[in-house]
Amino acid sequence: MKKALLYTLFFILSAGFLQAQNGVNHAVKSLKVSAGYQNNYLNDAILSPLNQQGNGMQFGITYRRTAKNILGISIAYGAGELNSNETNRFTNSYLDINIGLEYLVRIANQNESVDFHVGGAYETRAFFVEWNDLDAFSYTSTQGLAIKGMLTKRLQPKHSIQTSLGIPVAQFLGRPPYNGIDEFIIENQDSPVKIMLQGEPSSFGQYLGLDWNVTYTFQISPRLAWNIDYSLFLQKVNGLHPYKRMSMTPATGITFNL
Amino acid sequence: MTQYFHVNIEEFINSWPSNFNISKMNKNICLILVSLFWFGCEEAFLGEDAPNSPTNNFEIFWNDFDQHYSLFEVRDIDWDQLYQTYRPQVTDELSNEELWEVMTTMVEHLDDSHTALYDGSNHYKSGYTLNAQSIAEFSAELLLSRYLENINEVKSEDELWYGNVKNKNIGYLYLGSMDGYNPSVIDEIIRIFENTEAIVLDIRQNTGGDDRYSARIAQAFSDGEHEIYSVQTRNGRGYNDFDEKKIYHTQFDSNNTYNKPVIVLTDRRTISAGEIFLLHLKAFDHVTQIGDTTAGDFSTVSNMRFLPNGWRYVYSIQKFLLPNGASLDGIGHVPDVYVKNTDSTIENGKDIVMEKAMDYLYSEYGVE
Repeated sequence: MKKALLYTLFFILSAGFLQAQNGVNHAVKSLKVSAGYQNNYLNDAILSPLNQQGNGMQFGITYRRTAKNILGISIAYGAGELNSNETNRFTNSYLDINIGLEYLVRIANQNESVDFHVGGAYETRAFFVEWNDLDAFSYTSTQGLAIKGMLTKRLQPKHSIQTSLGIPVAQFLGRPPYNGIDEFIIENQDSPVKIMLQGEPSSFGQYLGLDWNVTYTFQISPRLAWNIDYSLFLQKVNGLHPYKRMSMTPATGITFNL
Repeated sequence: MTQYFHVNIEEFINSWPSNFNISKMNKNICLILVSLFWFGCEEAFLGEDAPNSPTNNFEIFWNDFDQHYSLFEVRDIDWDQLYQTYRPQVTDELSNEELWEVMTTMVEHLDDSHTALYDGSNHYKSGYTLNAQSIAEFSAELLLSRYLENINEVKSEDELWYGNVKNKNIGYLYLGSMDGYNPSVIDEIIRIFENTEAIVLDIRQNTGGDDRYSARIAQAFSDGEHEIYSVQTRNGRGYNDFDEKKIYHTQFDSNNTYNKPVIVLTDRRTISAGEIFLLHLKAFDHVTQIGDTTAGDFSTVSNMRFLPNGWRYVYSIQKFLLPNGASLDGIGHVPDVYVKNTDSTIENGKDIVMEKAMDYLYSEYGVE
């Protein structure tokens, strides 16, 4: 946890310094609020041998400060239900919380209608699933750094498409113990955040993730834009109790230029 | 469904103004990417669902126990031998009732009532015959009408009530489970019992709950800090793979403790956190256990487990050991004074366990 805080602090300071170097006077600040419909597909051997699928709403807020480079902070919250294909007796509830901080550097480009940014992100992700008031539960939490690339194509003065791809590279991974419960969980059952954020460094082979997003933006006015997003999120944990999750979320939102 | 969205995505892209500087090739790339990621890839990513057949349900069930159940060694169970015995009885032609019979018969060998199987309407617990029988050997109505007075129920807690034994200076406290919002309420009850000569602490039919709750209630009767047990949770494929021992001690608060004679009443249905409570109490010199041997099921129960046919089940995932390394799993707490009710003693209006407690307090401590 201390390492995670140090990484965050380092990342924020670096991002702030680099932002200052790149002329904050011309920065555009924007706030985007969005709502989407999250389609989740899950196989978590700790929870069940059965594949789960289901959906629910997801809400997000993203703040971005764009000069030459981009500094962004985002929070997303999703909740819904998952069912197995075989039976409707096992309806699980899930919570999905993502917090991210990104800093992307613009790469020099001859084409004025295309911007390309690359950089890093510090992300905390927590996915919690439970059945029947915690009679069964599982979770996956990650904290760490991801590399991220983003391509923006201006189609017309008011239309643009942006796509980004993030791949986690150094993550603290939190998963339930071998048997789902142990004395640590029993003793700390009133502090779920403490349980979920108790992660261990994971190797690249043990934890794999991919976060792909494509956004179409229509600039309604100089201060207001309408977005349509589609995001695909893949997560895979290898080991004795494998975990796989795929989340596909079409969403729409409004961006306010501040 | 796929076709519907496919057409609409195409229509959407084609409907863009023609003066968008996007080539036909770029449009096709967009179309392929969106279609690829939107549909049909979940099965490729997750893998096929587990088949819902009797043989596969049995295999998942047996393997799950094999990899996670904690008490094969402690209870001396040859799980592989049970597979050899019961697996041949399972074919894909088996009915649900027949599969239920095979699986429950197999886990009956564990004699562990923390192993339970549910099919949505039926509920089975391993080794539960004596526990179930003891339900008829206890009557709260009989206690209230014949043996107790000044009864108060503590609403914030689950099945906690207290009062006095009729015509005696003896406190009575009943705990039907180890769950509630405020176990420290026990300190107030002990203050109320301050001037009694003894307490009867009745945990017959105690269905367990939270071990921390047990520890807090037991603190009110503590005479010091004693090492009482250790817990280990199975953490690997081997039957002897367990995590580090977590050692537990009794808690002690010299300002809030009752150290006059305490008689704790038990029966076969005193189980789990109820038995953890006894691990605490039996470390104290002024506590005597009277009644029947307890269930002998100490482990925390696993998360609910699921089968493709809609059944669900739980099992033990821990082992509890006494400081000398012995386990009471499958044995239970053997009482200091053995006595048990029967259906007929209850029907005849006598709780001979309660009466034995009174006799014991008189003979051992002179409490009338």
